[in-house]
Amino acid sequence: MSNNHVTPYGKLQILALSGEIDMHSSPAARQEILALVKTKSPVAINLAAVKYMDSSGVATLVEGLQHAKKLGQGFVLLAPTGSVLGVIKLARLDKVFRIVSSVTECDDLAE
Amino acid sequence: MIERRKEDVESHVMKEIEFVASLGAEFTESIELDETLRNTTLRVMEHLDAEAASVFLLNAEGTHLICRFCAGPMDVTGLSVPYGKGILSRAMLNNQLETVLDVCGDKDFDGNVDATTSFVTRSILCAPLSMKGKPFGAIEIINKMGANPLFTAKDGRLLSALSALSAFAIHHARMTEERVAQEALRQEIHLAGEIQRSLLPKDPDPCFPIFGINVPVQEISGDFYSHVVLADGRIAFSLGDVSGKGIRASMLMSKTISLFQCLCKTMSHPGKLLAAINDEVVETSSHGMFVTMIAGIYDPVTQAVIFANAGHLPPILRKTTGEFVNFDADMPPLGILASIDFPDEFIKLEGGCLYLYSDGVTEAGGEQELGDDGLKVMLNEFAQYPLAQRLRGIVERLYASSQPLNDDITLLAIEAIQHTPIATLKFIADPATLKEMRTHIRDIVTTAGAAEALTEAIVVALNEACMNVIQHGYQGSSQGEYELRVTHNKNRHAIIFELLDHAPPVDKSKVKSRSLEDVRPGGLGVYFIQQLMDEMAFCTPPEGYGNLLYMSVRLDKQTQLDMP
Repeated sequence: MSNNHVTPYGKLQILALSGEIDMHSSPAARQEILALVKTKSPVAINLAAVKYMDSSGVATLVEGLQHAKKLGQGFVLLAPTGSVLGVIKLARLDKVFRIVSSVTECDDLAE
Repeated sequence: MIERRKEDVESHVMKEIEFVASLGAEFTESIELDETLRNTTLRVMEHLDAEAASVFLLNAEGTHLICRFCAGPMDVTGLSVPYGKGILSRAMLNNQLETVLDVCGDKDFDGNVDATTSFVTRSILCAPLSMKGKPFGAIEIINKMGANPLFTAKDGRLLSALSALSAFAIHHARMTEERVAQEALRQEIHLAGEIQRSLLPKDPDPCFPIFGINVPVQEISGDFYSHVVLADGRIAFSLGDVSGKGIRASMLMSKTISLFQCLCKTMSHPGKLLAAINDEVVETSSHGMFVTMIAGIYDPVTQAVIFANAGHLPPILRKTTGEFVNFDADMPPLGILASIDFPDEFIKLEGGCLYLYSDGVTEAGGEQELGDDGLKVMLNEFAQYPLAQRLRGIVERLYASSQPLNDDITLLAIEAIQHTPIATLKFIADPATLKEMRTHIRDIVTTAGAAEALTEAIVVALNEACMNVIQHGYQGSSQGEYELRVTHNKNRHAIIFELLDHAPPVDKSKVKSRSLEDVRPGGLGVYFIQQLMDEMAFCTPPEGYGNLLYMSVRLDKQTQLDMP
């Protein structure tokens, strides 16, 4: 069972992930992200409570972004922790994702 | 009447111009010398209505004229006549056309060919073939045929024009032949270089205590190094430098390294081994060539080195304290005097590293030669790098500072590997075990002294490596096990991770990182490991295991994992 939960912020759907996103847990996270993207709402993935993420977690986020782009929706990473941002930067994806530190930075998607 | 004669003359001139033009066009098509000579001779002979024709070219020494092609009733191809005598030579020496209407009245006529054959030479038209005023041959037309069998001034002018054209075509064809020959030689040297490189050892696993590197100035090298694992686990090694450069040096290099690789398997005293190679080289060496060489045997268990030196630069031992130990070198090189005893020298590495090098190393650096002291500075500077990276780093630096390179650069190091085991962890190959693995690794590397960012980088890298074993090695079956052996390398203040599994052996050629330009899910694991670790290599696994992935990282490494 996932401890992850979705909260709305205007039109934006915020999915909060937590714990360690690795090869074991990323399939569940993938399902939740893709299901949310399919609702055709703009999506923010709150990573503030994610302590660790491996390349399978990064792959899950890339897949979510690609699906959102196909549907013409916004896809934002919210408040990643240092170690998670480090891995995203290592994969040179920090310029590919829209990364914000606070939800108020994506009001454009909420309206 | 006058008009008609004028028309005849004009028509004749036009025909001559057309002939010269058509021959010129043929020459532009031909780049092959024999074909050019054949075309020239036959066409000219036919056009001038002569009985025979031949082309003679000066030999490389400039002493004789050799018939390269002839047409007519007698075949004199290959006939050699001394340069300086005869009508051919006269035309060449004066660099002008010779018209001999009756050879009987010419003192330079050589009747030897006529005397040995049934052919009768009556008249000769001979034009030199020259380039930039220097004759290199001549074209000779013999016996005008037809109703009026005498060569005319018109024939002479035509032959002069054609010989100039032919000279150009022959020169062009010769240049092409030379270029083709040079290219063939270049290819041969390239192949020789490849064969020579195949005599050097392949790069060993990172856990091997010896590493060597050779950068030749040309495609072929006079330097060499070698290491051979002996039946008892000890390792024979050598490094040498043949005097001189080029093909001769490379051939003696090939002989010496082959002798070493053969004899080292049965001779346990390096001094005696060098004496045996010396006797062989003395017996067959020529042109005063000689070889400077160090040969030795290293025992990785006791860290003992036994070596002997034949006229080579003495090795340097860098101790763990950073101090250097120098050795004497007073024995002559190989290939000069037979029956020499080369003394063996014994040392213990005691955690240090022994460096062998060719003079190309200490003489590198352009005008400011590196020297022994400069080399020691570099050895200190690169001391914390893994063995292979250290030597590559030094050689790259030398190469960059020595353009153009004057001498082959060869470097070999023998390092005592002081591994202290820290932990051995075993897990079921299931993704659910990764978290536990990460927890253990965090504790281990933190205790070993890694900073927080480096700890996280190591965890990320190892997680990727273990993930690959589960996903690709075991195909996600959760049936097998993976094992992590963690050791501390005191020499380099580094942590070594050996990841072992029982999965089918991986195809190393398929394990590579992908381009990050291509944004897509997956395929990042190998890239992460390569970025975060100092070393990553698949090594030969111990008995009973499928794969061994070797990774190492210095504890003072500035990690690339950006931790804001």
